Amino acid sequence: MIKRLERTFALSEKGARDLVKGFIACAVHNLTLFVPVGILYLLASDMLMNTLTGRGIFYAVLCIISVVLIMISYRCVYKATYFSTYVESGVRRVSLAEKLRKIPLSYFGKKDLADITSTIMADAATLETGLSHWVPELIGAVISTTIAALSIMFFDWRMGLAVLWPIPVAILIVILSRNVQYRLSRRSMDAKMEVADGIQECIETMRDLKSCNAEKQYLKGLFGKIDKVEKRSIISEVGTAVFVVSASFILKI
Amino acid sequence: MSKNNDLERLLRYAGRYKALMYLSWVLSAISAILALLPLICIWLIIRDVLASEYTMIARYGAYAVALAIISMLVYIVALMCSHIAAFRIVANMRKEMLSHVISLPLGVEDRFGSGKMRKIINDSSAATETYLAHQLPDRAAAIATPIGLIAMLLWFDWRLGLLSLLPVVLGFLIMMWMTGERMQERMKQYQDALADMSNQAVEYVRGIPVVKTFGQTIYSFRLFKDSIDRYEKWVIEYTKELMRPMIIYTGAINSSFAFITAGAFILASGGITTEIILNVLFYVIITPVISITLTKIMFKSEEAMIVHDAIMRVDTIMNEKPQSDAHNGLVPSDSSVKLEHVTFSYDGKKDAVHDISIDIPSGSLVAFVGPSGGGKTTLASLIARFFDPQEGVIRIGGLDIRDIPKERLMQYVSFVFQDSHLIKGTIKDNVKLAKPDASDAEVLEALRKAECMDIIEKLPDGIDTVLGSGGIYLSGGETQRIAIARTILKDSPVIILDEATAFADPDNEVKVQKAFSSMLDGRTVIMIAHRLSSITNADRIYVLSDGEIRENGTFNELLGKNGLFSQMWKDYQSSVEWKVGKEAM
Repeated sequence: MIKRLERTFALSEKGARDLVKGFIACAVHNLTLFVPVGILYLLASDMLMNTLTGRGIFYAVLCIISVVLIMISYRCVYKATYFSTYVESGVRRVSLAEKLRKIPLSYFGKKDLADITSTIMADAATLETGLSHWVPELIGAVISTTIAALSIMFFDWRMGLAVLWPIPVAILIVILSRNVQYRLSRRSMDAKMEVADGIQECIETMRDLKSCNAEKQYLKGLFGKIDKVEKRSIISEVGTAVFVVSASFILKI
Repeated sequence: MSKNNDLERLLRYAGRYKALMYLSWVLSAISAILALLPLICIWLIIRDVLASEYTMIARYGAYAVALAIISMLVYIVALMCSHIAAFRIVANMRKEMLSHVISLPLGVEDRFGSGKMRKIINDSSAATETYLAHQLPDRAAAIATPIGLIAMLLWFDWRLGLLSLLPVVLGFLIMMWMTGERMQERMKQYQDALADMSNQAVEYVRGIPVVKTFGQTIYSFRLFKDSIDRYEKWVIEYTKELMRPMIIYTGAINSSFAFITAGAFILASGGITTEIILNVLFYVIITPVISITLTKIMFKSEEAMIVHDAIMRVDTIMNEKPQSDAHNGLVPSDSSVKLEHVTFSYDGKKDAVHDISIDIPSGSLVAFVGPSGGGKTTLASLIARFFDPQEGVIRIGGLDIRDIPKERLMQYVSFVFQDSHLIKGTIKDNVKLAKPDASDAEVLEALRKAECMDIIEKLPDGIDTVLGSGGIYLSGGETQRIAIARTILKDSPVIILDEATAFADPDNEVKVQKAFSSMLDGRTVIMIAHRLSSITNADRIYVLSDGEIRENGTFNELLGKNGLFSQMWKDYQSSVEWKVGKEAM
């Protein structure tokens, strides 16, 4: 599993281990958030049974313990996700640089180097935020939800089913729609790349454009590309919204 | 205060989509209020359950579900509106920045670095998207939700309500502490470190071919590695600094249950009634809503900082002063070029050219020679008005070039660069840049005169071959010949030539020379020469060094002076002999 993570997220071995730690920390943190629910459950039943009197200290201690638990577990999450990813992304960038150096010389003549480099650096940054913010949270949520779901089933499987059936359905919708979404985002990505290239080219050839009196004409073409991005973004947003919304609808019901 | 200004700035870019933006806020607020209503249904259900009254429960449940669905639908419409407006704003920002950029003097791009400039135009505008499309409508909801909640508090039980809001207030205080001025500063540092690293990366990659050829690995790698290390160190420090506030914040927003528990005890101290149980249960249910709302606001302020930073970056471009442009019918009387006491400095400290006066009669051929960095290209660029001199006047056909509309000036002056850039398009597109309405025959004729036919012949689709795709790239000499074809098509009376310093192969060199000579007849030509043999017949040669004219005269006059030029000529000849000798071997 560690090996697979290494490959998927371009991590070193240590980075992959840290990522797993991040998953666990997130899951544990999510579980600590369930503790207050338990306390409130106790409270409600005590009130209904009218057995509340004299248990004040008991509740106070419970509350303090659970807040402390939440904070401690969050500290772990924080350390396991943010810290380790930033260390890791430094390592990744250096190894990228090493790799670039080993590419055959002929390659450099062919490609627009500035472009490749800035893309690589931007990708490294995206990977960085992704790994520090989203991935551990997502995996952590999946783990803790599964645990919670299992424990609900343990209490009463009928109630459990009633509460949990929408989750697999929603996941199914998301998975089934992935292809369409992928295609949509791919096309809007292409449009965006075209604009980025266009802007770069415009700046780099400004001197030539100006001396040909062609800058306005060039800009007109570039504006067309910008408009296309606008249109494609709207289309892909609508497309994504349709699926995500239907999935979350089912979740809410 | 500054945040509001940011918003105003952004909304200005929305044009007629501004109304859509406002609409999205209103809808989002309505949706937030609608989302609270099912809570009332739940309250009613709890009440009935406690009273063992079961007849209405199903109906309340249905109401709750219906209200939730309506609220979501309204929210979706709100987001649709905000997205459409946000995309428009991003598009308009980019357009406005690009329009501004083309009005700037050349050289600004070099100062920024083309990569950085693109990043600002492309990425900083995109950075506002999330803020506009998601955060602002959410903020409307975040304002509406507490108002709705407070209304509910008054309705049900204000004591419990206040208690459950306490963590919200705490969260707010911590957030304000975290997101003060200092954070703004931090955000900027972060972006700077990122930019620095990406600049170093570009430098590093550019240097790789050199490094590979000469095998000097460590130094260039070190610079890049240092910037990575700096960034890493900074980010870790930043993360460390934020850890404590984040932990406390998380604790605070998740502690509302404790307050409710405490509240339950306070209320129960006077004896438990069904009403109290009802209210406690109710607050148990609505508390999560509060933390969700808070989380939304939380992300908003982070996003607002990103937006603020993006706008600051945009301003670095927008604050660059554009070159003035004249609007009049003035036409130069001939193609003479006259420089009067021209002084120019790139950085305001050291003059790149100093107090230069030159008189170039219509139709003559003059050459600028001298060591590199002597000011030749700067002087030529000033004549084409790529930037304006700090002192002195440049006249073409008797007119100050600042009084000639830019477009007309460019019809008069052509500049063939040492390293011309071609746009990604067909050869035809590139040549036609100079004259959009030119026919194919004209394009071909220009290419023929510029000695480009051998290039065209080897390309798969002739002049319709798309450059830069499918691995079709031209060499430096080939690119320059295409640029010459472009200039021939443009047919302007004044031509500035920046001769390439080095050619990969002699065949290319001969062709470029031939191409040059075919466009010189009857024009005023200013040639920046590196091969002194190509200017023996120049009407006048100016020797530039350290931004000043050291010598001037015809070729023979200068040789007779036994000064700088004759020394350069000797050096040049021995280098040619050495080359010839080597080739003969």
